[in-house]
Amino acid sequence: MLRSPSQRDLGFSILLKKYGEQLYWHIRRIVVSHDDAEDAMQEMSINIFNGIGGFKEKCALSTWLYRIATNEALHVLRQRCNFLQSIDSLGESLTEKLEAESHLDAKSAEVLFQKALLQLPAQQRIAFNLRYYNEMPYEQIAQITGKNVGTLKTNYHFAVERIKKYLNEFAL
Amino acid sequence: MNDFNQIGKRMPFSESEGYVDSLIDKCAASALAQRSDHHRRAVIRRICFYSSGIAAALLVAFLLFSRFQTQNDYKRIEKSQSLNEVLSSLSDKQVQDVTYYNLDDIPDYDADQASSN
Repeated sequence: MLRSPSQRDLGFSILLKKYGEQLYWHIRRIVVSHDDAEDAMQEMSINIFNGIGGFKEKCALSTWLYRIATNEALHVLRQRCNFLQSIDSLGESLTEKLEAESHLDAKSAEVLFQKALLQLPAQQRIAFNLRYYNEMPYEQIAQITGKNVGTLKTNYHFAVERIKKYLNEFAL
Repeated sequence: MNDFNQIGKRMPFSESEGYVDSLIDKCAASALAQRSDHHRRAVIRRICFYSSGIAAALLVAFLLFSRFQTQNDYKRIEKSQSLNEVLSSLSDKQVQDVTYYNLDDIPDYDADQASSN
């Protein structure tokens, strides 16, 4: 359906209906802010629509979608950076956004857990999110992030340790 | 993956009922709407790509041609009839003097003598 130009529109709508929600939450976990997630979703949809005709089936369709979503989320984060600022140094501003948008108490377990996550470098955080929330195998995460499996396993375990350490500090 | 059982996969932020679905519909509609715009931009991009390629090829061709032309000019001068004629009218000694001269053999310019003359 996605290959046929006459049915591409319908195929695209069905695809977005099927994966849209999980992609939205994947983006939201990376960019944190509601508005940024919306911007990234818009750009992601346009990129998916424009690229779907050239999809080569070298990986699963969901992997390809997650790769686009991840790239768009990172692109939004880069736009929020100041000149020469790395996206890994956005932890503090993302934490502020989290506190502003959270409907829970700042000391709640969920908020502290997210704050711990936001202390991680972006690539480590993405690897952790995909493994923890989406329960993806490392091979699929490797295809999404372009990192090798060994690096991702290390990233995940480092992330777990750092989150545990952060939570212990706050006596959760 | 079960290291944080107490927290699970709960998120500290949520969206109102139906928000994500409406966002997905909005995104799908805007992606479909930008298709014609995307097509126009793709055509413009292709035109720019080909025209810059042609311009680059023309520039390379011009540089090669001008270099070739300069080399030809040197050759033409070397082969010029008048120069050949001048040289052939000179004796071997004169040609040698013209071609190989020593700067020390050339007398210094004397301004006083030149003015008295």
